Amino acid sequence: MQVACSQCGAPVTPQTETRFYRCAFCASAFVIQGERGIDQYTYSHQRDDRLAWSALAEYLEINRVETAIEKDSVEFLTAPFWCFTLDSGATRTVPAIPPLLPELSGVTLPGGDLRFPLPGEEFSPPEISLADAEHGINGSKITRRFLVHLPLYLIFYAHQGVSFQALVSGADRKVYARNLPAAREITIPQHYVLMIGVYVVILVIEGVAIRRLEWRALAFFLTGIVVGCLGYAVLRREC
Amino acid sequence: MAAAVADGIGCPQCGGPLNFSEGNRTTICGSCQTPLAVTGAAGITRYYLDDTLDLAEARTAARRFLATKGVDAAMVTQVRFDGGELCFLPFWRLRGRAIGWQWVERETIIVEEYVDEQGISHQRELKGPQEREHEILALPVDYSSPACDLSPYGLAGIATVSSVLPLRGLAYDRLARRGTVFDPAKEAEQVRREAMGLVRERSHKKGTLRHEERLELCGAQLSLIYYPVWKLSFIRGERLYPVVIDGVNGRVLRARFPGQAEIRLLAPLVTMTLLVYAFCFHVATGIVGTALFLGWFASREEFSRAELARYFFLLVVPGEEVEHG
Repeated sequence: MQVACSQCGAPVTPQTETRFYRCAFCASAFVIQGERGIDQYTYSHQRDDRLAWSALAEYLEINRVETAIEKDSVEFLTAPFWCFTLDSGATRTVPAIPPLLPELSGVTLPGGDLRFPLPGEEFSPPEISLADAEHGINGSKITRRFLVHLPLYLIFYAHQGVSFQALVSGADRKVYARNLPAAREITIPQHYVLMIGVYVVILVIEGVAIRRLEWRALAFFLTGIVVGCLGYAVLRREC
Repeated sequence: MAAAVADGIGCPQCGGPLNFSEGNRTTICGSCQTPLAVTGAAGITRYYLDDTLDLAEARTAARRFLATKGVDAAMVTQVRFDGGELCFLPFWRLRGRAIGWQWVERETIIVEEYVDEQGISHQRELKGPQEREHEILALPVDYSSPACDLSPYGLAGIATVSSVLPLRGLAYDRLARRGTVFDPAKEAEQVRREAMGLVRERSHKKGTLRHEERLELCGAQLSLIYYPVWKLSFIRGERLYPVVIDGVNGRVLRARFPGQAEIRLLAPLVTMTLLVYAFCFHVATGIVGTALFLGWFASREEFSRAELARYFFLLVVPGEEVEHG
């Protein structure tokens, strides 16, 4: 996308970082304002499903819930959000489509490089009108309105037959989820139980077979050393 | 320190081209000599801090973190570098003076000394008369705040760094060629409000009952400072691990990796050995030994069958995640 210099008509590439420009040809300075109606921005983001699954895995770990999930599918979408700058300087976002999850209603605009949509780049049009979105901003004067298309991953996964959904923001890896699997439980692997069980059986056999207390103590000690070293080697390999 | 020269706008009086430095509050039109006040977004100076680390050095800093911070050993050997991106994160910086007055009514405490019947000297605090005070204030303001949501980057403010290190005037195109320049989402007005809120909070004294004040920000210099960070990505299997490295000093700002698992084999083996030995000696000794063990176990943590099973059979305890930032 390009705009023409107001003085000589030379093309100038607009940037989202500023509205003030200097023409490289005639050195005149000008400001771009109000010519595009509502500004539209998006984030530069390449779809990468691994990012979405990794962000979800980290989120589940932080919330200490079950991380052994069954991955189902990922949908990539770019959801529009109305953004309002208030006279206090604060920015509020309102989903411009019915929110995929209620948690998205209070989404914070992620930090990143906002850019203008490229020619031919298609996004979902807003389904909620600007007036309806503004209606929710009560008591504050709106000084600026713009539309941001936020890259999102809609994740479907399951745990123990129960389906769950989560949204991951592609711009900052933030996860929005309503329901989560149950709290994580530490399970004891069966072979650990078997290992301790075999050790106890060996001790019992030695205890019955060896009558003298000092020899029995020595046998227990040596068995403990051998089993301890073997067990440590096995467990170390598992870690 | 080279100040960034801003683009100007047309003179509202004569329409001629008007140039002024960013940060200037007033200027004079070169064509018609009309004195003008500069307001709005163009009045903000933009700077950046130069990055001193290249990608290889940032990667080394991340590897050092992996090797020294108790990250799972298997992870350290298996994780591989997936890519990195230099990002310039925007921070607002506001400097100036908050000037005004405040009227305070506060309670006072009188420390009284007294001697008890045994002749020992004590001190006690008593409520004194209420004090009213009127002050003229001129408080320095030096406030820094992220200009957009930077919570995933582990950097809260750069006031100290930006006071010490040299700032360079921002040329957006040049900087955008080196890395991703984040856009500020927070408006200048909010920064002013936040800074003044902090000043007001600081000016409140302990024990204040009533308080009236009027403070105005004077001589304010508002600037945007872009801070360099490396956003690296490490991969193990299908899982991506992001790491954020400070582009100025190589500090790890944010990272999260699985911790080293702990092998707990000694305690269950020793306990089992002692209990079996006690039972082999005599059944009564075994019962007493078991009772003593259960008593000791109940005294040190929550007693339940699950906890007992964990003590004897959970031979590998998963490590707590190593988190930074």
